[in-house]
Amino acid sequence: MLHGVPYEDLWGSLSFFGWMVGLIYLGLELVHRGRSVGPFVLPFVIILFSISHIRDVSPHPTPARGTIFALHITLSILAYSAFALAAVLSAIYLLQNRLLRRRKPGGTFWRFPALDVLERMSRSSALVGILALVAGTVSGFIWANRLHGHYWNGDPKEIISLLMLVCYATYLLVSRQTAWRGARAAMFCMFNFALVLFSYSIVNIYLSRYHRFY
Amino acid sequence: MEIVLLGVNHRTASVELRERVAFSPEKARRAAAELRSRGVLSETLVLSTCNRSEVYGVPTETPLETMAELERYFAALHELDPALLTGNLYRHRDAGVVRHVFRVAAGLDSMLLGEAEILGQVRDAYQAALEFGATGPVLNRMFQAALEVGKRVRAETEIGTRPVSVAFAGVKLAEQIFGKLAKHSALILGAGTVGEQVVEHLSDRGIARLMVANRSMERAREMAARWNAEVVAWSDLESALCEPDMVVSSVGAEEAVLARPMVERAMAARGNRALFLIDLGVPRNISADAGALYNVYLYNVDDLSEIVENNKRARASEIPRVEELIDEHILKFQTWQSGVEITAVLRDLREKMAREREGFLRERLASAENISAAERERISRLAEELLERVVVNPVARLRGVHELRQRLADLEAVRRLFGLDQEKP
Repeated sequence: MLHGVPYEDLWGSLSFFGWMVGLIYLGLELVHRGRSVGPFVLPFVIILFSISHIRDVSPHPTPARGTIFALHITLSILAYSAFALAAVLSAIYLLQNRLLRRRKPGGTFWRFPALDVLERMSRSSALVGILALVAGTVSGFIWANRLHGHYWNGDPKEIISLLMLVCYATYLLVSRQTAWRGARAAMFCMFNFALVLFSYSIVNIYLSRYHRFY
Repeated sequence: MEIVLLGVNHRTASVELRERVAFSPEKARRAAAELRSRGVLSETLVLSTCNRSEVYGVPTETPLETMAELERYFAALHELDPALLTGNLYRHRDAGVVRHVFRVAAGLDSMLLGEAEILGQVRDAYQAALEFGATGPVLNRMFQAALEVGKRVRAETEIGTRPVSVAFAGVKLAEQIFGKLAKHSALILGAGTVGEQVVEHLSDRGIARLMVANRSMERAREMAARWNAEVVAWSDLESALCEPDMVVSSVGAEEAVLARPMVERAMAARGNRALFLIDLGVPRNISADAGALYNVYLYNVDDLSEIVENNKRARASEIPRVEELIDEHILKFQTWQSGVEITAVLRDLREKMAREREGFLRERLASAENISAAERERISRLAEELLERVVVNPVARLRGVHELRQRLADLEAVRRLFGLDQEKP
């Protein structure tokens, strides 16, 4: 992807996805000063890059597209990456929590970050995701309006994006304030990511008319 | 260039003897000064902790004489009968010293395998000796290397990462749950030795707030005063459970102090904010089934002891990796040492050749009267040039050997063949 935003195909968007995961992780690492999660995030990034290189990119003619469209893509993929990271952090949380509750901490346990740190990192990541998704969706609506003359097209992608927003906002609330904080919130965060994956795969390929690759 | 070490540690000497041979900072300075002024050692460093008293030095005499001299001085300084020391002292030379100090810095020689405190003590001892001007190039190099070994061992191996005392294991677990404890609070129930150790660790780790409760209000006040904690009335225990992030309980009671329903109500009131319970009581103070509650983490004495045992084994299993690292640094140090040695050997060799040349010329030219001063000068220069030409290749070869063992063997051979050792002033 030597030029601009990779919105030509699924592979390019996956590669971009990988970059974004890495980038957000670096940001989280700086804010929360915890580095022990890195080894768990890295394989994820590598897998994304590997998939994105399976196939050579075949250049094909692209309809004219503008800044708003590029913004829409970038922000959406940024949001997905942030959600992916939140899910990985929640998974580590669940693992760590399980070790603690079984009272048999061993192996790498002592090098793991604290539950509290994992939870906060996951929440920050979800917050980044929400903000990016809001901005990405808004720019999407603007672009749709330019293209079709109206903002809302009833596309499944539009519906699921709004659903994701609601779910992640709920997660932020649940993980901080309610009796579900802790492991249940972490599981909810992973469930939310299943939604993201659904949107990224099934919705793109089979359901949506306007979203083919992202 | 030799290094010697004389010392006692917890393996070789009883605590009574260790107490008697401990060095106060003043005594360490005095020893360093006297050993140098008496010409026993040219560099000295004293390392004295509760588990060891060691004198490191670079001898001015041959190592054997120095060792005997050092031993006499050691006994005299501490006003001990030298016979008391026999069998309790260890002596090391050269590579043995290097390995020993590296092992000490790595925590391998400590009573508690892998403990980190010793590295700070080695650093302090080195700093003190350095500031006092007692060390020189050899000990400086060796102790800097030892500090590096200690740092690397801690960063690259697991020998010091896992807690190996029950109290510290409890505190580390709390940190695995809550992260830094600076914004957290603990409630201490009852008073026990281990419970007290937990409190000490918690204060060390900067816990924000401590609360104490005891059946006897008087006892609670006493503990609160000692730990700078708040007193909670025993009757308010249930409502008090809503606040702290962790509870450490060591109460001598027949039945559970914290039963499941009580913890359950507390969790509801806390909105399920995580609660870490450490039960140090025997019989147990907290019902085991309370540990099944959501976001409650319950550990009893046996759980913690098992963790400690596992961690001790894990630390021991790291020893080979630490030894490997130490070997690597010994090799590095010896390579440096042999480089210095080469320079010294070549200097000795040149001095010897100069002496030979002068002696030879004096002898041969004494009777030759028809040679002018200018010619004498010329002959002398030629002789010098010739000798230089003879050694230029051997010197290049000596410097060119990179394999340490070969290099040391060559050095030894040069010293022996040219008789450099005997003539050393």
